[in-house]
Amino acid sequence: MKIIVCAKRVGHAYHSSTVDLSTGHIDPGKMVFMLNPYDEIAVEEAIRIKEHISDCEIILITLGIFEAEETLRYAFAMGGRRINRMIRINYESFDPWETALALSNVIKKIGFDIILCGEKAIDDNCSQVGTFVAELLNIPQVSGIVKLDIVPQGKKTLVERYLGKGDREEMECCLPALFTVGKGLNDPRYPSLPNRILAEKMKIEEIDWIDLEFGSEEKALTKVTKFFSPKPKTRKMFTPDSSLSALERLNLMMSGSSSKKEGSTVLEGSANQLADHLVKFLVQNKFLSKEDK
Amino acid sequence: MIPSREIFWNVGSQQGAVYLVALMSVAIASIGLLQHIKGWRKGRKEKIFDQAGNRLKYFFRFLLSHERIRKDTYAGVMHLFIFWGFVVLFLGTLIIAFQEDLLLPFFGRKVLEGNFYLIYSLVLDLFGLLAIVGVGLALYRRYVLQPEKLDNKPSDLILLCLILFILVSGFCVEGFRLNVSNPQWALWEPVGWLFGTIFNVLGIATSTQRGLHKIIWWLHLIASMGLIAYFPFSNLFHVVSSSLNVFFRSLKPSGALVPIDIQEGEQFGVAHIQDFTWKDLLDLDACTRCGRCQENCPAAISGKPLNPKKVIQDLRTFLQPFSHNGVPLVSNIVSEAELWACTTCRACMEVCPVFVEHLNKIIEMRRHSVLTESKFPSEYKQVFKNLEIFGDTLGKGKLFREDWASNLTIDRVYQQNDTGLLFWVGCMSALYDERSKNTPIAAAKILEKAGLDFGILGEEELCCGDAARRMGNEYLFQHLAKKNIEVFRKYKIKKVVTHCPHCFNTFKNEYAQFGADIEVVHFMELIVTLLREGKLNVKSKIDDIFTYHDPCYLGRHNSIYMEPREILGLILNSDMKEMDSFRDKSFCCGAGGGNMWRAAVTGRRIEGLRVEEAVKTDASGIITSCPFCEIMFDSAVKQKGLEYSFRLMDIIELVNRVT
Amino acid sequence: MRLKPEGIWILEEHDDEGTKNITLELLSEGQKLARRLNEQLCVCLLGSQVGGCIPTLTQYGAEKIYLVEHELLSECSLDAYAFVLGELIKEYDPYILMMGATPSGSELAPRIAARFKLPCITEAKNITGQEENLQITKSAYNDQVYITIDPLARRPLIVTMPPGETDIIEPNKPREVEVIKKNVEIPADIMRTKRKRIIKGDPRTIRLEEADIIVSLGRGAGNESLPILQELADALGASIGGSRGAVDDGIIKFERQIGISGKTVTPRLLIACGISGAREFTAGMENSNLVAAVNIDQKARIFDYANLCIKGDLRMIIPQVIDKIQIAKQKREKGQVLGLDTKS
Repeated sequence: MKIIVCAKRVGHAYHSSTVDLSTGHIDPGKMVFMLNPYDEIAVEEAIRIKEHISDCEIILITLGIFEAEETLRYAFAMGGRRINRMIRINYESFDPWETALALSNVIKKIGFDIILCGEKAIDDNCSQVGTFVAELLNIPQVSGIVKLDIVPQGKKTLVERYLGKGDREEMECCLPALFTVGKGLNDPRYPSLPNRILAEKMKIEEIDWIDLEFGSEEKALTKVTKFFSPKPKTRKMFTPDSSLSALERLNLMMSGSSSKKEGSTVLEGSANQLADHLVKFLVQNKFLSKEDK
Repeated sequence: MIPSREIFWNVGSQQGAVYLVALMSVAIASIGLLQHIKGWRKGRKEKIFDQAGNRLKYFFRFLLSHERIRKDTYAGVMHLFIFWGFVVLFLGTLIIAFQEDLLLPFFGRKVLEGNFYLIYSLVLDLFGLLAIVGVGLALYRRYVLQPEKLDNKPSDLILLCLILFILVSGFCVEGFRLNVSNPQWALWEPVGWLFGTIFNVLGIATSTQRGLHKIIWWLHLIASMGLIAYFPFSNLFHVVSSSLNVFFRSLKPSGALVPIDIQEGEQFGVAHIQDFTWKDLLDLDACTRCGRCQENCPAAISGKPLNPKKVIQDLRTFLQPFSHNGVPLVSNIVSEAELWACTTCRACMEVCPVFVEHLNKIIEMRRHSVLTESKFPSEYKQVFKNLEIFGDTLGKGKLFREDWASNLTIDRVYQQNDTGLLFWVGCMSALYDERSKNTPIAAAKILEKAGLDFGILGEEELCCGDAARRMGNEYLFQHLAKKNIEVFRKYKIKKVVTHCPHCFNTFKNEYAQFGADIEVVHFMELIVTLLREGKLNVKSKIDDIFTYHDPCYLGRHNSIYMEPREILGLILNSDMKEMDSFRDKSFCCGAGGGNMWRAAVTGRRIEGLRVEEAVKTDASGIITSCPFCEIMFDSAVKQKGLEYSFRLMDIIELVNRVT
Repeated sequence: MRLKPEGIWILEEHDDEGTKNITLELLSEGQKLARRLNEQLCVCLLGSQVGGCIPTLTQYGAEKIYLVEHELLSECSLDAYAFVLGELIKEYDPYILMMGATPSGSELAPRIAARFKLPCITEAKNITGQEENLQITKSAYNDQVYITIDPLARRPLIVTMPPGETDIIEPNKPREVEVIKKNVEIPADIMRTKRKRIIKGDPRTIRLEEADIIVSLGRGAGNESLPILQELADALGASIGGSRGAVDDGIIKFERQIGISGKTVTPRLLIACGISGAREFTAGMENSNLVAAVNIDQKARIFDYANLCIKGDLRMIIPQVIDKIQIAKQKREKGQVLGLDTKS
């Protein structure tokens, strides 16, 4: 069985100053880089499959600049000798279509039974590449899986995915197929030191963008035109309920004028009033309406 | 008549038999000794014959003063009695051997005659009595008092009874001899005389006594030789192993762990018994099962699965012949729960009378677990990844590292040509939460007031690596240490001050292993100097009464006990109150060794026990000097509902307030 | 054939209880967009026996409905949906196709985009510009960065929007709209995945990190409050979590601990009951979207982290809250329009 895992090096922004206001670009110095946490789950799942099915080949593929090799080596170190090949396509694009074209092009040549990739990347938050690849290779896909069982000997899998609020859908999917993995599928391991040392020594096959063969009419379908910082997230404040009488509201405001640094006032009153406030809060924020997700 | 005695009096011409018995017992003892040596040699090589002179000097000081053994008074006195009793009796026997086997046959002379003989007899009698008292104390302690820290094995009882029998039978022999030969100097052998008098009072006939003398003499001899033969197989072997261990004790800085090479290899840390060094194995053999480590271990006290004595004793089984060296230690011999419960507070090592190093064994096994097996409490993965990705244990990121200083007017991020003192802020203070930032703010204000030229690294600071190293992740530690040292080099930093005991210990004791050449002071040392030099003046004093918690990495790991007490003496109106356990016996806050990020699975909370102890002093609050301790106590104080009645502060905040 | 793509399409989503909120949100957003771009707001209603949803859709502004009913569409099968939607797109050539960034929408949108080589933008916040110069803004990089994307030339543009971010507009009266009923033959062999069953999630057992709503309790709640808090949690479909103190006291299990030594959670709503807010705890929940705190102590630190701060005894307050929630739920079931019972 051949398992292909697509892994991406992502920049994680943790500070509001990530966008350089003078240039309108993201400042990489203000981010940290890592293996996309969803892809990490995909790598882990591949390793786990191999632990059960010995006749199994794992190939890691990434698309990115030279620095992505470090990320690829981290992914390799998770599995050590269980991972057979590492491939880096030397290209970086903000357009998921271009990325998917390149990946599917390479994957088609290698051959595959299962393709695993993360449900989304935490940088561009796109969750498209996996699906694009599946469509380009004309294979079925299930997104956001949280359980993967390969039916023994059969070219079939049983998968589960979340539908929100903990509900899961169990599906049957034939192979070859692509699965994008969601949080909860597994808990990725931490690489051991011998595997890290091994990863440093392993060769990474490099494929240049221009060596990929696809039609000249294929080009990016989207283009990022601007980066900007969102307005600082304002805490959603609770305001005293307008349906209360003026006196009640006044009382509330007076009693609530305690010394507070941030947040809203501390509400006091009878248990009934307070319960009303809480329910109102729930209603206003749509927690009592029907399920959204 | 010249006072003296015939050595083989009444026993006659059976010297040959005596020597035969002696030879046999020595032969058995040698076999036992060889087994021990073979056990130690299972370990890796390690050269530790440096500073032999110093080692020898300390060894004798240790023996003569019993300073570490005396820390437990009862056991100390007991040991002192038995020890000196045995030393003198042994010397006495040597003198006899010297006379009988060397002087008499070759020179026809004796030493045991005249006044020397009288004093010799008196001294031996008195020390023999001392030994009996000591053994009596030991028996009483072991079998009547039965302190929890002692586990009684049959061999302990055999040993003590054997010794008691030898001592008592010796005096019996002496008593019979005195009664039969009836010399005029009998009172120079007071204990023997006392025994003799008792026999006479009991009305035993002189001829019977002569017969009994012979029998008991032989029994005494056989018992003594038996003891020699039994010696390497019993706890008495600590006379050799513990002595060697005291001699070979680690002279490295007490806060430093040994680095390992992480560039090559398939196996790191200690997986099997033979991965330890021979000194580690000697350590195991040196353990006398006194239980002091167990008695002082915060994990053991709070009901966690760890007991340092048990760990050492469990590992010790591998020193026996025919043990299976191939058994992986972690999870077979030392359970994972034990391994990860250690807070690395060093209390066990501080109280161990014979310098057993529990900590490095635990760390070595953690290293194996983390580096080779990648097995550790699940909570740690995020901490490791945070360190690797963000450079701090909390996963906040470097861009937040200067936030604490945002309300200060100082702008002191280190520049290329700055020469001032480096103020190292540390992750816990800079990043944990709003409250944790109070300490660096206070520290910066103190530096300002004292007019010191200082800078911070801000975004270029990384975790010092202490947590990673104590959690067994040497790879991550070395990665962080090397990066930090690079930054130190970049700015040519010579002197660092920090208020975090963990950073302090790591910089001071461990960074040198990677080529750092920096002078490190803890903030309290700096404050003391500034106060003494008058660069910092106490303007008002604080009325409240506080108690002080010695952080492990400041106290036990680096022996800073005096400075905080001096500072508190200067800024408090009344005397500070000490808790039950303080200075080198200080009780851990529970955060060390990675336990900050772990949920206590069993037992009570260590920080809770400590806060209870602090509350018991009737002080109005607890002062500490470690951001970790502060965070741990903060939650304990809240959980006990004391947040408005019991205060918690860093000593630096207090100093800032009064200067 | 028309010269240029026309119409703003919204893919309807429904469950057993009818049209989902996300569709109403998309309609609310779509109405504004349609007005601005002077386009017709259309809904693609796919499923088996879904005609009953039409009145609701018209109330929220649908001007035209493409209805495809087929047995194979009864489940949200990706292959069947993609096929049918593809047939519709080929025939009617829309300008923009909007879907919810739900589990099914999130895989359907890129699948169709790839099939027809269309620009696709997921998790969009808003759509600006017009004609050839549409600009879509979305949040990326951990919400620290917004990016604006130009979907270049090809149309329709496919957009997904995250649920719960748009306010649902006031509904109008149901009205007559044009319903185009299409019969589409779905070849059986295109179905490569098959739904086996739906496993209902139990908030009591799902992982705390997954929980949408968390009712958390501390030492202040005490052991005796657990039943009422569990009842509150059940009423809200919430999971129970707690502080270290609550774990220490044995009120809840360790797996349910929130804090630096427990789980780091980011629910949409966290209700903190009897939690003082030790730093240990707040470090594990400070990124929660909304926080409501009930505590007897006016000075409790948790109030610094809460959007709603209630000083009082939770033993008195929570039972009443549960009653009021039940009443609100009953009202909703009596036919009140969803999400709009705020005036009750």
